[in-house]
Amino acid sequence: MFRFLARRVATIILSLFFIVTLTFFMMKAIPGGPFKSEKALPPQIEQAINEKYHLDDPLWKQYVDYLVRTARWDLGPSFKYQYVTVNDIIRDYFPVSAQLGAVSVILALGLGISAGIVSALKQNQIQDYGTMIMATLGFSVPSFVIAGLLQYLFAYKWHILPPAMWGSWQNMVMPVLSLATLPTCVIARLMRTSMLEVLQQDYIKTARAKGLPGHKIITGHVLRNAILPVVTYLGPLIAAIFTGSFIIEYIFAIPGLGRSFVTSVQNRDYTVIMGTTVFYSLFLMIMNLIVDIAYAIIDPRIKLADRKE
Amino acid sequence: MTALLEVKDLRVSFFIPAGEVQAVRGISFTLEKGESLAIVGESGCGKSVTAQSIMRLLQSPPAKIVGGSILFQGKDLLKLSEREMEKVRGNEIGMIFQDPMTSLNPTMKIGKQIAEGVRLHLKVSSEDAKKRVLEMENLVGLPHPERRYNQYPHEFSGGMRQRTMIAMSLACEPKLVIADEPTTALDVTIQAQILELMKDIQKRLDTAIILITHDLGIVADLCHRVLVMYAGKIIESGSIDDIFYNPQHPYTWGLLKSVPSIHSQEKQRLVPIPGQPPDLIKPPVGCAFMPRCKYAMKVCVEHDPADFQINDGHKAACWLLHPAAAAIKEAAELEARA
Amino acid sequence: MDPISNLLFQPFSHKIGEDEAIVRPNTTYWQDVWYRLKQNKGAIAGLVIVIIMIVMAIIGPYLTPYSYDTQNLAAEFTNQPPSSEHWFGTDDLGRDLFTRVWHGARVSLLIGFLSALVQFVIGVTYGGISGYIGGWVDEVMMRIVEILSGIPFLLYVILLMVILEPGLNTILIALGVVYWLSMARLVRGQVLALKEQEYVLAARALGASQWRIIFRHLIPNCMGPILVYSTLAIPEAIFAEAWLSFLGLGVSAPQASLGMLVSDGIGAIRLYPYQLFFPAFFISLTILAFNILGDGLRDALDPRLRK
Repeated sequence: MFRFLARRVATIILSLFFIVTLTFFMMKAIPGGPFKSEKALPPQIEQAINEKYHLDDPLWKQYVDYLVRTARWDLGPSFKYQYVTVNDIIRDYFPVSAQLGAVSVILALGLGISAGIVSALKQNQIQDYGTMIMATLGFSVPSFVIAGLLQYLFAYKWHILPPAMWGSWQNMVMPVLSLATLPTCVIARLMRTSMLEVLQQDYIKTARAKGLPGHKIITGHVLRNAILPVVTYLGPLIAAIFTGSFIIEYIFAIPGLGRSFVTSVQNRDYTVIMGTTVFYSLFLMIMNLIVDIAYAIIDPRIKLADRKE
Repeated sequence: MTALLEVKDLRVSFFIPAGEVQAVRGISFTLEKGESLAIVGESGCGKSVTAQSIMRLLQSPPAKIVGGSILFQGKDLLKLSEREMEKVRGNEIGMIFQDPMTSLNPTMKIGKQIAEGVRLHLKVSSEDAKKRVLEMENLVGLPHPERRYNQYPHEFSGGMRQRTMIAMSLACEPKLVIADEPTTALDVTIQAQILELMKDIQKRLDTAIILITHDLGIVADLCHRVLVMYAGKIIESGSIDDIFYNPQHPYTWGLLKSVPSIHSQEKQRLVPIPGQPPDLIKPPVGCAFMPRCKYAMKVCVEHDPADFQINDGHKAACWLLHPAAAAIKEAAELEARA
Repeated sequence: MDPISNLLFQPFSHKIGEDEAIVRPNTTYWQDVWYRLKQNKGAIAGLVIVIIMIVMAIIGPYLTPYSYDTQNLAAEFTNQPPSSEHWFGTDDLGRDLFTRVWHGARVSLLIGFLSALVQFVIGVTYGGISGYIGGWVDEVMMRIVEILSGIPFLLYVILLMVILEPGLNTILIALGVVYWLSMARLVRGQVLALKEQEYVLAARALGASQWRIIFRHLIPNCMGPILVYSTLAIPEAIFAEAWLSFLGLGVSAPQASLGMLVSDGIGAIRLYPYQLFFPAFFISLTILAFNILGDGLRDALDPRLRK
């Protein structure tokens, strides 16, 4: 266990290092600086800005500075908004995104797993076909199309739900539905396939030969084995939810980190772009680590010391 | 005294898109308490299907038991509801499967898997169940039973897993245990150990055993009687001595010739039986073995052989046993059993 | 039963061991796969839809007298609902939406296919080499893949788009460069498994060079899963491009992709829902068709999974 953790943490640090470096140089490669889009500034102000943001230092020095500061988790000031640091932005906006994301993940898991189980148990019957058709459809319609449709129907046409903003549970309905649709469908299909595969296994025959009734076989033997592929999907699931949240937050004007990222890209706010990228990457890598540990707990065959793909 | 198990004219078919595959075409046999019976035959002859039919473990599409009856202690198992059948499985009849690698749940502890049947059928507390499991582990010769109780299948060797399967099948002291190719997937030395174990258990617990196998070689030490199956039918049945020392059916001759024996002469060839069993989607009209039989007669092409009684408890379904074939039979026997 | 005549107890001469069994005609692997695919009605429907979309993407814009960028700013021509002159209506610059939708389909499909192609080339080469050479080269190459996997894709695509000039080529580069990782892993896994097979040994014994072995023997035999993956990569790319358009990083106006049209349509959703409906419908249909086709291919290649 220890060796495994050590190896993973090392990989995470290496990845982060790579990401920070890559992001930094990509930022510097953007034609035009952060301020060029605005009207020309008088030379003294430009000078002051360059000093404040160290833009005059040689490139390698800026890079090292940035590395060091990032390691101390000081992600720097925002280029666009005075007196606001990247850390502030993350601190203020991330909890909203986290809330949106968490509810979506829970919904996707709950609904997806249940649908998958029902489909597998009623294989080739109405419930199976119906669920799988809906799953394939939901899988193919892009989340922002769903968002747009929901917004049109429930907010503008029927006036049942507020069209945008955040705060009450009504605000959460449409964003969560838009965000969770794709993952729910993936999980439903995955769970169904997995259950069908497990049901074919020899040890299920053994369980029947012991005289176990159907429901006990499902709960005692099938579920734990069938859920493994879904746990593997958790990592990509969380990543998908967080990238999906960018657009959803944008459409519904939700004050989350995703929307800040989008605005910072449009504004060419370098430090915010870099800082948010680093933060998101770190977050996702930690989530992946947690998922891998969870998987190892569920499946006793995995010895954490040597994980094979 | 009623026999423990009485199978009468069992017929089982598989309904697939291409048609009906008649896997078992009318077999009958009985088994007494404490007796051990071997069902021997090639892959596809219907022996596994028979075994699984007794336990009603076949997947109901595409398989279907289309006829006959299976009387266990006087009750027809084929007429029981699924719930009643669940009470029989594991409790009165136990089963051991072929591949110990895949027959155990990889994510459940061994102890729990053995205890499952005990808790379900004997309705005891979990401590009592655990005690029973440890008893069983001892019985089957698993070393360090306490430690093994908490381990997972992947931590066991093949032989140990099969011992676990045996322990599971015996946990509720069933009257009958069906072992479907229990040693096929194991190394030869482990095979011998497992067979010894089964013999030992049979003596101690007086369990009846049905041993399904394609390997005549393992049958002699453990079983009292043998049924030889081919293409869904029993073509010869008798005691161990009958089958090994006085076989009457050409297929049985072929089987015996293809098994190496410690008594074989030096450089004696192992003779395989040429050809393949017939496709049971279109079962033949006459004797199913005819295309592969060196001694086939015209009658074999047109008529399915009847059973001929050789002596008490020994019969075979072959036209060579008809009085009209006496001359041919003598010549055949001389040649085949040389 | 009538008694059997004694005459029948004569030897029957026949060739021992021969059967009049009907032997099924021999089919090649790919014939089998095609047969199974044909049985899957959904997959065939998907294939048909894909073909229709491609055909319409090619000829669609020529079916109307308008071009995709013909503007007409007079009030009676802007934001018109569907009519006999403008089958899908017009947008806020008076441009005919029917033409724009099919022009957009052209762009989206092009992006889809070309990205899948780029992913294919990079992924297969990288994975093939890594898997075949094995040893520490493989370790290092896979370590790199692992590190790169830690990066959230879309973030990087966005950043790339910001650096390079927005446009069709950049999108292609961005998508291809970022998404090849899974393909590489897949190919490597396949190659590792196949490497041990005997025909590889035979080829080497005959003196085939390493490159030849990789490209002529190993990769053709991995084609199945690779094909499935590439088919599914197309809708992924179309989706990603739509996403980028939404953020304003897609193709530049007046060019349009389906994604861009959807994005514009969402902006106008309150007043002119038809501007969203048509592009949204066709983009979803396209993605759906490719997904079903990809699923069908996957099932056809591995019959065990079908039950």
